[in-house]
Amino acid sequence: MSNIHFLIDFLLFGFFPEQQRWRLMIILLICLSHTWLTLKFARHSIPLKTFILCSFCLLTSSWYLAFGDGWLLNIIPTNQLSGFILNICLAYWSIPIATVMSVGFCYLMIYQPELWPTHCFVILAKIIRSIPLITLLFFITLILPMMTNIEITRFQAALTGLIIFLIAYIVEVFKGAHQAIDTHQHESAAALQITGIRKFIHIDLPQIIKNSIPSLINTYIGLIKDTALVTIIGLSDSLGNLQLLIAKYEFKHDFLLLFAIIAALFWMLCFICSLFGKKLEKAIVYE
Amino acid sequence: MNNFIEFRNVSAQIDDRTILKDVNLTIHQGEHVGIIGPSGSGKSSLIRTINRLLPIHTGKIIINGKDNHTKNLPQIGMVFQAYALFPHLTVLENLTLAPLLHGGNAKALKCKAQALLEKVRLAGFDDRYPNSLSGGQQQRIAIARALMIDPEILLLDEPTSALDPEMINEVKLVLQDIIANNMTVLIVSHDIAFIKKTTSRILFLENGQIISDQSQKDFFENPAHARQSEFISQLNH
Repeated sequence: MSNIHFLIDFLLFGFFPEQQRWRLMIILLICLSHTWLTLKFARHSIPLKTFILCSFCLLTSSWYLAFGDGWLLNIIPTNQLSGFILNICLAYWSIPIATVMSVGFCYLMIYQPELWPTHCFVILAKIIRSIPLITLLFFITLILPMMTNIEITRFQAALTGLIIFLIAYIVEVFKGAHQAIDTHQHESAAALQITGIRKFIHIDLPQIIKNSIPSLINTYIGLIKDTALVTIIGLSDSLGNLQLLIAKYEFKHDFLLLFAIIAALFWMLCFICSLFGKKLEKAIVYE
Repeated sequence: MNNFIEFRNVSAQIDDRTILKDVNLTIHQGEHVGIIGPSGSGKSSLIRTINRLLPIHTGKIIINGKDNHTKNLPQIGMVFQAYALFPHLTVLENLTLAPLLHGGNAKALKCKAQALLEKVRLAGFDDRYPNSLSGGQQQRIAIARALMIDPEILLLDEPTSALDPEMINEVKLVLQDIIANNMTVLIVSHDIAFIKKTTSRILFLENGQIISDQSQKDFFENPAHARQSEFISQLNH
């Protein structure tokens, strides 16, 4: 057990340079503050424009902190972002991006179902939902670069795969939430001449978000656990790092403990997510 | 009086079911028309075709000399049986959303909304959400919302049917107060007393057709159709 601190440290932060770990701590703080900001927004404490601006700033600054620019912050290669922090970063970056993109696709599916991009998206989403995530990750990592000559790092492939996978599910969640809106509201909106994108933004979307919170949180929790699959395409997330340890050292008696630690970390992350969901549900009450 | 709303051989279908058959009707500006008839006779469908909530299959609807598919038509307000307020918006937001989206001034609209809330006897309810209000209060908010756009035509689709007797009175009193003389009003209702108080002309519909179109006095004293007499006698029991 003498090396247990080293092992836990390796599981958490992997190959990220030790002198630069403060950057990861700030990323964790950013994740928490974004959660807090979302709750504030749901309670109408901050306006929509401020929320969008702050969210954008938080996301870009977390990305900047993770990889640097070689000017103010040292550049960190994407393969050095590893360990449990990689799982957190993948979840943190993919969830907001996929959710925002899903809103756009949801609008297309509801209001522009006849357009060809909508048809393409619907077919693609059906295909993505029918294949395992790992197949999609392999496709983006191995087959897509061969087909298109686009160079893509494993990290980029993992993030892209997770976002695409998440969009395919969230759009269905949103579609279901839209169907739950009372049909009389559509009629009254039409009678008030509120149609198209204006109706979607002002009448449908707030109710879609409210109606979909439980399913949305469910999907997010699924994604958090799915981030562990990136180890199969060669990224060193927490499980990947544990496999490296198993291969390199002979601390076999410690492995059970390390697995338990990883399980506890994922449980904690999912618990925070479900707690966030509960708070969000309570925050969005129209009474 | 000029022909303000004209139905010219209007037929409408939902799926394969014909709900309006070859309707011809003229309504003058400022007229208050009651529409009665058995359930499924096409009363609600008739008024829904005016603001295009229900598309028509044949014929034409002319409003103030223009096809109702053209732009710059007179404003048409509508009140639904099920209130149809937006639950995620406060009372004030429910009232001001549509005119704001159509380019209205926020401050002026807020003042107008508050004045209308006072008119429907709900002053001070600005920040409440619809779900925290009673059915009668929600319906009065829906009436105020319909009036926010200064409608020249007001369509009332069974505005009291979903309410208990006490709330019915609240809504009826408010409606009697606010229906202005220059506003063209079409009221679909089973409440004969309300129809008697608020309208001057009554249409009787059955199977998607207008089988009687009489002044209020004649409608009750000299029914034009046997089916109409039968329906009135059932309502009186």
